[in-house]
Amino acid sequence: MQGDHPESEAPGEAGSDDARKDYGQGFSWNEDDAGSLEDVVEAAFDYRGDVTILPRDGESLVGYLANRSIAGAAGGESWIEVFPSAGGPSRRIPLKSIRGLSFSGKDVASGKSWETWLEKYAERKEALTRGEEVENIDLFPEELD
Amino acid sequence: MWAVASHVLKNKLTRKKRYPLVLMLEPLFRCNLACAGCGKIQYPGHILKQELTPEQCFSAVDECGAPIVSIPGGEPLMHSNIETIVEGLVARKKYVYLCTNAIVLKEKIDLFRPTKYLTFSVHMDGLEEEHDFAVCREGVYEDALEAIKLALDRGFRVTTNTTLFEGAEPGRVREFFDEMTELGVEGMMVSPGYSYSKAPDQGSFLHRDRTRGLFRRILSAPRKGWRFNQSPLFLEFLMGNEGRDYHCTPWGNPTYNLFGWQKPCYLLQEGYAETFDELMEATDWEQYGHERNDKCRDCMVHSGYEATAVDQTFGSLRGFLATVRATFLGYRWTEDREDEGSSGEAGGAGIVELPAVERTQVATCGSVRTETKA
Repeated sequence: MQGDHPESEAPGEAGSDDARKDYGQGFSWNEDDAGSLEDVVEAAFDYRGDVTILPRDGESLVGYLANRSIAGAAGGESWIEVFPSAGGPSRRIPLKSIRGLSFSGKDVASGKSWETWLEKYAERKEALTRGEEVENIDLFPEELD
Repeated sequence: MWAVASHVLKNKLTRKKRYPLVLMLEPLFRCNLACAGCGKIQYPGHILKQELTPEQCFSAVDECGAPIVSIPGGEPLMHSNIETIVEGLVARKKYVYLCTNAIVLKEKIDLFRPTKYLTFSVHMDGLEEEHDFAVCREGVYEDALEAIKLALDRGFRVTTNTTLFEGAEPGRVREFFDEMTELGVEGMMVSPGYSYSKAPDQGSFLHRDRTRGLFRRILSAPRKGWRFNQSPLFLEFLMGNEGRDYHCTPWGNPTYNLFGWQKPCYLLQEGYAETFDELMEATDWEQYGHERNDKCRDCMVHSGYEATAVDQTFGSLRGFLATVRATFLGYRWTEDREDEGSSGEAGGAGIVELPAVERTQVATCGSVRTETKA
């Protein structure tokens, strides 16, 4: 299991437990690594970016993991549902057909927390009080490709 | 009101234990605001570009059967077929609340025709400073104000939707209600924000008490003319009326979006069901509620509790009489220790400091701020 965080902010800062700190952009898991695919899938479900799925057969799939079902002791099939980034309908993939999964896409939630905004807002307000020139800090949605 | 009453009574008569009142239909996640921490808009671009088709919307509405359809998002006015969706729902005699930040309402208003079935529910989190701060952009309050005036002039039904957060000042909130009343909106909706921590700090869990204190200060002496577009029993619940110690009704406001039927409720995203029946039957509802689940512990949001209040109103004569009494004679609440020594007057000056717990998920604009992972 490896955790590589290309962005300056470390993932998992929002109060999640230590065990989940490595699940961030750049994280990847292969079946030879420690940990279970089920745990990685749970983290991927919370991840706000695309993931890359490596199947046992066929080509890898890049997309947003929007849903999952992990079968319990009662049995049934575990699966994930992915919206491919290339377009087309969502695809349901059985966990047993997956050999690896990586958090390959940009974490679009990164750096957009309420706390970050609060800090910027307070700094700007203080600067205004001191009579300093301030930059506009309005937030706008990112352009869609 | 009749549509809701008959819906509740019909379900009571057929002894249906769980039934929906308001469908939260999210036809897209794209928004023209970028409110910090908003979990509804934090998706990759290819997801933000996707929209539910009108047909998908209609089939969700038919499947669910709720008499009221609330359309949040994202910003629903950015949907390429929003007028078709609204027309189709109005044709089905559904009461539609189109929840909008109103930034583009002026340019899109000609797409719609006034009808009793359509209400623009404009997101307003307070007076100018508070609202622009909440939506992280200056000028939005003014834009929304102009759009509200235009919509009212054109004969549309207009309500406002306000979420209150830590640090809300009762006096300022009351001023805001005055301003909206003066503007002529048909009704106002207000709800506390929702925050929970995945790593709960037990010492911080005063949220529900603090929320009650805030709402008592705001609503205990409502000004003549204020009209709330929500159950008076729900408002009494927010103020801490002992007889309104409600349990959450998460199935009361089911949510449908691009991913399916959201489990278990509008605020928590724990997965999706393919069909409405699957949502109702396969969700372990007993797992949720403020008494049972840390994630729900501080939640007092209308999407969870207003349906409970409505059920009380139309579920018993006592509930109905309580609603009539609250409507005409004012709200009742129960004093608690926090109130001892205070004047008890509404509109009191000063900030009601809600505890500074981690704000990972907060309801706003009829939408949510979900965990942003920093």
